[in-house]
Amino acid sequence: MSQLNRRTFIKNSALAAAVAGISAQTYAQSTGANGDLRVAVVGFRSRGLEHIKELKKIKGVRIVALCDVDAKVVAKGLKDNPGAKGYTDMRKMLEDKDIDAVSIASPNHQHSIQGIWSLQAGKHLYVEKPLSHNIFEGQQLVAASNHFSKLVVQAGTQSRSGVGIRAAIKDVHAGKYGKVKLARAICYKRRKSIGPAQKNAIPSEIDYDLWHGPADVQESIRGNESDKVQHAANQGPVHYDWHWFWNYGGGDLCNQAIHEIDIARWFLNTHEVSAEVVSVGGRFGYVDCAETPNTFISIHNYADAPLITEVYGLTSDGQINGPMNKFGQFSELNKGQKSAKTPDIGIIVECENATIVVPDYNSAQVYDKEGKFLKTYGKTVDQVDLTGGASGHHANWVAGIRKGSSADINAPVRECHLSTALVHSANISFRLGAKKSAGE
Amino acid sequence: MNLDESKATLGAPLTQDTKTELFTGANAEAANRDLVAKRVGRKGFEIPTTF
Repeated sequence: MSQLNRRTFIKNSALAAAVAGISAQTYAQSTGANGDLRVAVVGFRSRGLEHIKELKKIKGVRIVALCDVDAKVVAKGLKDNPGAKGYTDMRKMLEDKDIDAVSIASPNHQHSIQGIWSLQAGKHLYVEKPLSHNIFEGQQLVAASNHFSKLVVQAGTQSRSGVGIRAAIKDVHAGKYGKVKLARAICYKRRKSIGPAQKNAIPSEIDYDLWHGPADVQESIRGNESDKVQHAANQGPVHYDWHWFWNYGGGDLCNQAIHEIDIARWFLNTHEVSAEVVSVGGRFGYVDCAETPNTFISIHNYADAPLITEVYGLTSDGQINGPMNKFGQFSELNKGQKSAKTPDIGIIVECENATIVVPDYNSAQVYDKEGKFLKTYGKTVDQVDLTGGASGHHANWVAGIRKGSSADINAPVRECHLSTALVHSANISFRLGAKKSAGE
Repeated sequence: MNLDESKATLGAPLTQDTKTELFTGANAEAANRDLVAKRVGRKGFEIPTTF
């Protein structure tokens, strides 16, 4: 497989453009012949498919390139998207001047470097959460975004485009319900054991070295069970289990809870990292080869009000969506849902005069001090068409590109970096901690 | 049940400079090592730092 190294890539893109007197910003202003926005999607076996679906809803947007380190995924993508070009190496893809924008849904450990590469190549950028694998990486992506300031960057915290959530936050920030006393980010996403470690060979269609990107290349191991990819045996941590290994992911804190943390911090109206953090947790209920905790509490002690995150991944009945799992969930989160669905993620914000509950990616409910329902902001997730979250987040990005301005972007890269830094600081606290029994 | 496996991990209390985002205080050295040194990217995939 042809692979450019970074030095060659940089030479061929941003630096070469600069030498030629063509800035990345100028390059990015070009669009297709009909004024179409030509978008490439990177990493599209799972979440990236939702990106494609969202982008196709937007008039004047064309999917012109698809990139994945799994050649089989690329082949299927090209069949489903006639006319698009296929790539396994993103650096090669970024040489294509007929791409205006890149939408990234690759694994977490690739987000920062792929985002920076995209900006250096003069492409507008949509990049999934978390923004980085560590705080340092995220700082560099923010710096790159500041440097290539005419390129429009949207972070993948799609709840930021949730109409009801935005309205509720506007009122909370205006003081309608009194001062915020506490914000809780709740993630009860059920996960089964991934089983004990087993070595396995990587299929030839997956470029395992390229998949690692900036991460250390490690021998392929995975559990002999998995909650997501049982059909994808012998693919190591590729395609989902990477979430549970520190080399690539950060557990459900980095996977799901960052959405809730981002909203909770947004309610707090703070725009910096927390000065104090401490965590407690563990991997309970079974013994498997995963490294990240499945039970976790972190406290980010902001001066005005704390942000408390609660992650609980255990099943109650051995099933991910089993009926018993509703027990133990927070009753507050169930209040707002009129459907039979039992929400497992959400945010609870305690204000002086009311409690705000966010049970999904779009709406919010308000209760008085006695728990009496007062009002709903927006429609609940079961009442609207939400493709992988708040609809319109990609549309918000495209609108910004067309206006040539990041001013109205709903999820600025800096904000996502701050929320990402919170999940990293919580995980660092955990990883530097010590195992304790109840008596210690 | 393996009692050792049932132990919870009590995380290290950390303080962080909100401007530089670097950790300060008692656990700063270890925390910042995790923050910065562990992942600047392997050869060929170094995280760009100048633009």
